[in-house]
This record gives sequence, structure tokens and C-alpha cells, in this order.
Amino acid sequence: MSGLVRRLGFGGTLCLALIVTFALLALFAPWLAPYPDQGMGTPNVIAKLKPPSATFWLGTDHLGRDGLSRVIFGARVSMSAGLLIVAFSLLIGLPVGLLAGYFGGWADEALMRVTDVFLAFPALLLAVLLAAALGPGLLNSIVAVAVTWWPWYARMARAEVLVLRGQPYVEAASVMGVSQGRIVIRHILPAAARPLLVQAALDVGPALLTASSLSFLGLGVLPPTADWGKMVDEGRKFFPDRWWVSAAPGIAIFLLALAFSVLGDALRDREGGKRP
Amino acid sequence: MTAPLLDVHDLVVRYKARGLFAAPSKPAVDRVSLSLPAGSTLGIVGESGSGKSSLLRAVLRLVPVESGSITLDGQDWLAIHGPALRHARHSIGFVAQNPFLSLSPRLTIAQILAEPLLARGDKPGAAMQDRMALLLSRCGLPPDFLARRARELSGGQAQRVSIARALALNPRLLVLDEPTSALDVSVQAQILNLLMDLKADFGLSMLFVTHNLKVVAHLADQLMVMRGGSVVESGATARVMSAPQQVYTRELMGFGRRA
Repeated sequence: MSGLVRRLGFGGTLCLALIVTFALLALFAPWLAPYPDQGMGTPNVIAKLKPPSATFWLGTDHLGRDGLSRVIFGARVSMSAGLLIVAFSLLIGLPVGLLAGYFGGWADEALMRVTDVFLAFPALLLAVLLAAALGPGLLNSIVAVAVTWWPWYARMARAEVLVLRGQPYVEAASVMGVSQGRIVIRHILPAAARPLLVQAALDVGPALLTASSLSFLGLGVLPPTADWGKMVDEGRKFFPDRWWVSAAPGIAIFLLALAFSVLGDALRDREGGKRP
Repeated sequence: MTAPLLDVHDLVVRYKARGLFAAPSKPAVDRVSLSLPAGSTLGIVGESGSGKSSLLRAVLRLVPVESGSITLDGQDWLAIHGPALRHARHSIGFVAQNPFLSLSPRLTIAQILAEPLLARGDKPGAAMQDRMALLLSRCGLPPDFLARRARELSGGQAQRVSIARALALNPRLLVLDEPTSALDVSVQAQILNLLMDLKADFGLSMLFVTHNLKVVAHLADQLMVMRGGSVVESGATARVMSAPQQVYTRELMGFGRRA
């Protein structure tokens, strides 16, 4: 434990703990939520818009559902949206950047111009457009955001490869007659992946914010699934008199996004000292 | 005498000039010829910018050649491309200047030494382990070094590993680019002794590039002094060392003494 604090700093460790807590809540939501059926969307109209109390720690929403249970179930959607957006983006961006950077020439030109086209659009606008075109749903909104996200990783991977390609150990491998595919995977990828993974950790926060924005605009998951962005939107009608409806999911978004950012920073600081 | 192992004729290497209307740049290697008989060592000496590294990189097929020819073992070395080139590269071993840069920091010594063997198509297993341990012991390192990483080694040990890697495929030709420049003086001597032993034991042919005449004088049969991309003086080591005909060569000898 003390080793972890030394590595990530106090803030980083705290944020890691927070992220793990949210992850566990998301994973075991049906067992941890006080009212699992309400968390999953069953209305409870006799207790509409109740303020926070001993029975409903975070109050209830306009359908009488327990705010805490909804926030716990919402963690599933937000967590997976943030992680999957970054994962999909890495899955596309990393190979594109590796190929463009390693082979250079026309492959580089072609791949990077495609990347530029995606970067030319304002990200949220493009995501909204795509989400609207694909229709609502969790997977669709994740795909919509990932499409605007991957070019950043492609550019970063390319920049890393351009540096690594000239490294003497990469040159040594090619002089030994190691195949190009193996050079990329064995000698370049491991070194290029580290800064990218740090960036990915930093990006989970903004990614889940963007996914929540889409939900807020009604382009995310369909009701009655709990989602933080959607919940903030629902609570807007009752704000500020019944502030808890929006505040609970809003604070959850804030905390989780902040936690990922601070943890990413801690990882980056650690990485910064180790770059050759 | 039999045909030379490596024969370079009128080699010109020129790096692209920047910009559309820029005048063509001066060639980095300007009509250089050399001939290396099998089993002998050629020292290429010159200050930085003399073109010695470009010449060597051309022999390694790392930079494109503008004109001239390179013949290796009777074959037109510049005519080989693609997968055939990858395969043909096995006949040249390469040792770079800084072992900590030329050995991947993320791999163990075993993984590093396995790379050339795997590239040749060897299967991983006990035989490969034995082969790698033998390579290390030839270069004066115990087999338990296989589990280490490059950053856990001293400069001299790391350079021994990179020599072991260069020898992994029994190359006909060993190309060394300033192999001792990144090492301190006592370690330099050890590495030179190792190379001398390897040369004696295996009849290695070597192309040894350095800015330090003194370093190569013990090892080389022939010397070639380069300046500004061309050869200014060449001949048998003893002749060049005892009676240098160029002022520049004398200056280089002085540099070696100072360093």
C-alpha cells in the first residue's frame, strides 16, 4: 500500500481508490444498491421527488426511484462508456499511427489526411451528428464518440514511431534481418504504447464526460436504463427546487472524471521520469 | 589471392537536399573504393563528418546509394532487395557505437540474442538457449547474464552482448561503428582484446570505423583515412602508422594520443 502511495502520490492513490470503488459499485450494483429494482428502472410513484433522507440517501426522482440506486446503476453505463470509447479509439488509432509512422511515404500521407478530416470537425458536433444518425443506444453513442476520438491516438502513435524508428536498437534489428512486422510489434510497439496508455488513462474522464453529454442531449442510452447524463437532464426540470435529482448524478460524473484525470496525471509524472 | 570478401567501387552516397530549388548537396561519400580480403580487418578512420559512417551505413544498406557498386562475397550486394535482402543481411554482423542505445531497453539479454536466431528461422528451445549461452561465453560473459536487461549491465558488458548478437549468425563480415567510443579507456582495451581474440579464433573479417587511429592500429591489417567524403590515404597499417603521407593523418594520430 505504501509502495502504491510512493508511486502514484497521495492524490493518485486516492483517485485510484475512488475509481476502484465506482468500478465495484458498477460491477455489483444489483447487490449493493438499496433498491435494485428501482435502480433498473421500476417506478415507485408513491415517493415522487422526495428530498434526501434516511430511507432515500440521495432523494428520489420524478418517478419516485431511489437516487442512490440510480447513481449506482448509472455507474455501469458511465464506466463502460468511458473505458470502451478509449479502448475502441486505441484499437483504431494505434495501428493507423504505427503504420503511418513506420512505413512513411504515401501510406503516411493517406492515413494522416484521413485523420485530419476527422480532426477538422468539432468533436462533440461530429459525435452528436453520428449519434443522431445511428440512433440512440449505449453502443451507438460509444461508437459515435470513438469515431471522433481515435485520430488523436493515431497522431500520437505516429509521432512516437517517428522517434523510435531512428533508435539504434530498431536499426540494429533491421540490420539483423528481422522482418518489418516483427520490428513494429516487438521493438516499436512496446515503447510506443506506454505514453499512449497514459494518455488513454487521462482520456477516460473526458470520454465519459462526452458520453454523458450525449445522454444529456437524449442521444445515449434509452430509458429506463440509469445513466448519469440522462439523470442530470431529467432533474433539470425540477432544478433548483429539487436540486438533488440532478446534483447526485452530476457530482458522480464530476468525481469519476476528476479521478481519472488525476490518476492519469500521476501516471504521466511517473512515466515522465522514465523516458530515455 | 582470392577474390575479396567485400569490394566497394566508386561509391557515392548523397543525402537529399532540403527544399525544391536547393542546390544538390555535396556527397557524403564521394567515389570511395575499398577492398577487404576475407579474414582481414580494415580500419576506416576520419574525423566526424568525414563520411566514414555514411560509407558504413551504405554497406549495411541503411542509406540509399547514388552510384557505384558494392560486391559482397562475389554477389552484387546492391541488387538484392526485399525478403532476399532480409535473408542476405545474416551474413553481416553489426556492432553500434552505444550499446545502451542499440540494445532494446525493454528486452532481456536472452530475448535480444534470440532476435537474430529467430530471424533466421531457428525454433525457440533448449538448443537456442545453449547457442546463446555459448555466444555469451565466447564474448567473456557468464550464461546467467541471459536473464538480465541491458540497463543492468556496465558499458563494457553491454558492448560484449552486442558483439555476441552480431556474431549470432556466424556472419562473414563484422561491421563495427565506433564500438569503443562510448566506453572508458580501460574497457576499450578489453573490448579490443576481445575483438582480436575473435578475429584470431574465427578468422573474422572486420570493417572497423573509428575517429581514433590508436584504437584501430592494433587490430587493422589495412587502414583507410577519410576526410570530407573521400579517401585521403590508405595502405597497410604499419606503413600508414610509421610513415603517414598526409598532414591530416598525422593530425589524427595526435588526436588519438590526446584522447
